[in-house]
Amino acid sequence: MLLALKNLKSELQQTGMILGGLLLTLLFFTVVSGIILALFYNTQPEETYRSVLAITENPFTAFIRNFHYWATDLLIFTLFLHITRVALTKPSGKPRRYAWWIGVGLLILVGSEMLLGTFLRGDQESIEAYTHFFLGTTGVVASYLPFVTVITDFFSGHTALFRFFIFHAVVVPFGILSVIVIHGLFAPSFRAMIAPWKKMSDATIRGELKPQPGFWRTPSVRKMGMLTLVALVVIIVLSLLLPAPLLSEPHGGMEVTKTPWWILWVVAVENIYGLNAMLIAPVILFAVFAAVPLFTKDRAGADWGVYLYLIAIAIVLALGFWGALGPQVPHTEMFMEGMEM
Amino acid sequence: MLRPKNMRTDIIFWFFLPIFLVGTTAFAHGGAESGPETRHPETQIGLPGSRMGHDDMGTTTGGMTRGEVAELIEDTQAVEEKRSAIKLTLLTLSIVGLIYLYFPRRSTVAPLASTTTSSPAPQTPLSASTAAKTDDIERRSP
Repeated sequence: MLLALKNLKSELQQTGMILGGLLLTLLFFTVVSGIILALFYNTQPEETYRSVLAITENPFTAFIRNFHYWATDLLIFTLFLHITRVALTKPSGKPRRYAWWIGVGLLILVGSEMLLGTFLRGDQESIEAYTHFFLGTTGVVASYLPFVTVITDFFSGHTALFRFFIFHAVVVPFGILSVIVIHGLFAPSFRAMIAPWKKMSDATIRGELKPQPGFWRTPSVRKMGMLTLVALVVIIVLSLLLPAPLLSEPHGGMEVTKTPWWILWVVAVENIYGLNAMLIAPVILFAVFAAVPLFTKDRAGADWGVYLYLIAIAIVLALGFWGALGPQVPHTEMFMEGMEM
Repeated sequence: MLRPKNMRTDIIFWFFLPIFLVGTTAFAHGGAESGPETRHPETQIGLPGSRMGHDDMGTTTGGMTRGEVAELIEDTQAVEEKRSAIKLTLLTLSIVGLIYLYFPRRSTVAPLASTTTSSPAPQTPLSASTAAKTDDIERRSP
């Protein structure tokens, strides 16, 4: 019995080491479902909500939209687990430190990509998210750094949604894929996972794509296959049972919704310190994450790097619960009232 | 001490940074100074419903009060709040599981005096079987 438990623990530990590979698979799922959705999406502002509504009314496109939503949710969920696993196995030594810092960059890119996705929904939450972006940049950051309005102007007016769409569908995914390649060059577990592909034979060079003997029995490949299958089944089941939300048509000048779950911790900080906190809190979190390797020692046992990460993630989770269960607070309405006075 | 190559990079950086800042600030001057009307999001994005402009009182938009809009989204929002709480609970439990699996503990075995300098301490709590399998993968690659 004890041996079985030890084996299970060992299996789970090995599975945790390839969560980065699962992230690649989930990214693939979101890209494919996103491409299909893009065929039915209209970036003309007057038509956006109607096109999204039409997507939800057709069973096939509704399923694809739900699939896109749950694949993205699973991606951010797995991303948190992957970062935690890496923090606990200690990003010490040059390659792992670089992999960690590039990973923090990836986290920022994925966060931006998901925010852009929220803008594109064309519903009430969409305009509230945009209002946050607009007031945050123009109303707060531009007071200190006026040149920021160049960015805001670029993402304003009738072409705003089209430009957001191009960034969401092309620019940021391309950035993510490029940074993943660099991330993979440094990450030891990723390099170990791609090892089965490293082996070159005369036949491969001649162009014969025969898998090497034992290729599919490689533990990392087998586990990746299993994880992909499980993730696919989970996403399909969730997509069939729980549809992705779509709120009412947008009504400007008011804030009545809450953000998606992974950013609720920022909402909780906003509830306390107001809209300005929305800009400062993520910067502090990314700075803390970036500092983790600096406190990590290359020796056995926990150190301040591990503790720093665990304290940060515990605060994020606690604030997330607060944001989810607490009352809805209209931050932008209060900010705009203050601005007009 | 700076090497010539680094100095060149520094000079290029410090040359372009002020030009970029001054240039963009001058370009953006109009936008930042043109008052709350142009800074208002509803006058900027063209989503339907948001094009009505901003009401002075901030209470109605497109003929709907804040309460009416809140009512429109009430059910979906309640479901989303529940889902968010469940997702956060699952994430918390999963992170607790990861802490159980990977928390780096100090070795309870006393190091041998003669080998401490040659063999580094384990960096991860992975079991010996994982290490063996990873070694196997590495060995099979050229």
